[in-house]
Amino acid sequence: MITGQWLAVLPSIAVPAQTPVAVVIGELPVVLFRDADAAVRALLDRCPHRRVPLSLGKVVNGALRCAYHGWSFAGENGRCTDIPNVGKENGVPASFCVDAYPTHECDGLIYVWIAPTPSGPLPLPRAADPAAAVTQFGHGNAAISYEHYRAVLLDGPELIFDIPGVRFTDFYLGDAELRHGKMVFECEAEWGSAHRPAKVKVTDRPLILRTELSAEHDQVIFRLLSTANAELGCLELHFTRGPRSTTHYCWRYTQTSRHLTGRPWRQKWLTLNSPAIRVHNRHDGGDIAKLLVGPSANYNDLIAPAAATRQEN
Amino acid sequence: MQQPLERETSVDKRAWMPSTFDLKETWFAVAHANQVGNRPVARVIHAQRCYLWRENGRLCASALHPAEPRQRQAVISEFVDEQGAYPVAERYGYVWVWYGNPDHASPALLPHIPFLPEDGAGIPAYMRTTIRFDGCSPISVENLLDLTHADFLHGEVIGGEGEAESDQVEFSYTSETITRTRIVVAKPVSPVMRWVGGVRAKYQDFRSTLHVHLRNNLCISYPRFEPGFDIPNVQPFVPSGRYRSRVNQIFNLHAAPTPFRQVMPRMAYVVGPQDNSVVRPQTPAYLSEGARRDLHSRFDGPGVRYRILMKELQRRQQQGDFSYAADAHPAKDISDVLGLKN
Ligand code: FES
Ligand SMILES: [Fe+2]
Repeated sequence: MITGQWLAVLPSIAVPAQTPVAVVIGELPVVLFRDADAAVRALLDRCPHRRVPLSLGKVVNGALRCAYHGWSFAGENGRCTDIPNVGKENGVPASFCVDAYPTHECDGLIYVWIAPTPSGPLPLPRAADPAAAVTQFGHGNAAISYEHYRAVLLDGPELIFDIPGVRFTDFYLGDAELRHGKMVFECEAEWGSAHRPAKVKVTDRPLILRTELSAEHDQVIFRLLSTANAELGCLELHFTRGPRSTTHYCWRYTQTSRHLTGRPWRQKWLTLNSPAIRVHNRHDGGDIAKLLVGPSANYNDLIAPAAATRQEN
Repeated sequence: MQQPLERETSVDKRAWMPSTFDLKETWFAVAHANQVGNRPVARVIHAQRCYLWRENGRLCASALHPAEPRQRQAVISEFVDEQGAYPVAERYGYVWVWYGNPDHASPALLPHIPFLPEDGAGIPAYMRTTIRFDGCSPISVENLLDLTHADFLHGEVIGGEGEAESDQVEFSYTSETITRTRIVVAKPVSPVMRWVGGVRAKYQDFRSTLHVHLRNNLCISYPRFEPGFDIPNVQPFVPSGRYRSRVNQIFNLHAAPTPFRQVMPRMAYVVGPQDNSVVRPQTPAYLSEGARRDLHSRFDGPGVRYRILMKELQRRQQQGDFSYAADAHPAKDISDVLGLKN
């Protein structure tokens, strides 16, 4: 089980009112739904009566009602509040309950703590930018293990996401270093299509991609910067173990202007119908296999010790 | 049925793992008799492959396809003779295959089904259905024994029982069977009976008996509606293996008018998938022993008893005792148990 940290599991928009949503964290099935106050609740996605996934059920009067025999469960503590026809006076024993997990919702993401009581800080969300002209959210499962997903994030971000009109390069500006509990490094980037190779004859590239991998949380922040250090776009990506060695991820992207500031007209025109960002849910095994090892080689020295203490929480 | 809400009692020494049941020495209704002709058809019983066909009018059941070379006549499994043949019988419109030691097979052990003709004559094709369940057979049997799910899973099709004047459930059991009877007084006439069956009354009484043979998951139902019709039917859940099962259902609707008698069997294709929507995800959830014990309500009496009886049978078979105890001969006449009118 994954304990010891708040996990961002889904964007808020993925959990509508009235409809429960299933997500698997590690091997643990979890159902998320909104109660009568629209607060997000998380329960084990397995009815304690006959083990049917509660996510097949319905939200009725703020409680989650199982699809099979209609037992209802309160989101805040998992207590079974109703068994049809049992009669209120007989009551439902207090021991009748399903595991409930604390939740937290902020800046469009839903966090879950996979244990009865949270004992750690929320990941510092990158300060919500009220001026963001573009905000996008998403989530998915990558068919690659957690450790390898993290390594690919560091060594080949272009395999994880794509900002149309921007080409990342693996020309590192300096080395990875530990800054405020994060592993930080920068690469050059330029305007152009990600599908074409980087230009060889360039003296100065106009963009920088800064990667900040948190030691405390399974969170990475990618910032697209101008050479003057102005932030153009920012991807906050949370990733955690999913079932069968997949990696579950959930992200939020903001951009300071509708079109990336400084983007040449040609790129603007070429990407007119593209989303601001694409976070890939399919990965080419061949591309991953031939990815050169880069900053991931430093992970162990730099932040593994800090990350290890977290796991023991 | 009066016991309070409780966790599984201490009688249950071990966790409930329905996929582990593999009860032997019993007849399985593996195919509709009208589906078996000169061309072999393949069926599976508890992961054992079985081919069925007719040769000069004689019914054959074998672990080998007739076109397969017979040279390697090494013992194929404990369930067949040296030729690879299973004991086979035809009765009540079904082809029955013996699952167990072939030397112990006897037509005298075929179960009794009072409302189907022994020779299977006169059962029209429209009274037969075949449904697949993506779950293990005991979970499907529990689903049939359980009545409280109808309002939630089958609301549009069945329903109305909630408004009845009275609604009682009784059950009894032997070492090999469990019988559950539900008696409902003055419930609103079900939509199918009203619109297709032409029952004009507003309310009807309803008495439904389900008789389950534990070893072969054979479920014999006798629902009677007054005013209305009897809908006797048989659902033999044949395990394909630990995770899937197949049911060849036969109705006897000769007492019901057209078009009800043609439409009613088709309802299986509506209700079956609704049940399958829960049975399917339940199956993997019951694969491991580590999971927490299930909770029960006071409506789960028959289901809890079913679990106890199944575990007891399994325990006996694991100790090498495959006999039928005196209280439960499979061929026993069950007309009275079902509440059959004469
Ligand atoms: S399985 Fe959920 S109420 Fe029965
Ligand atoms: Fe059902």
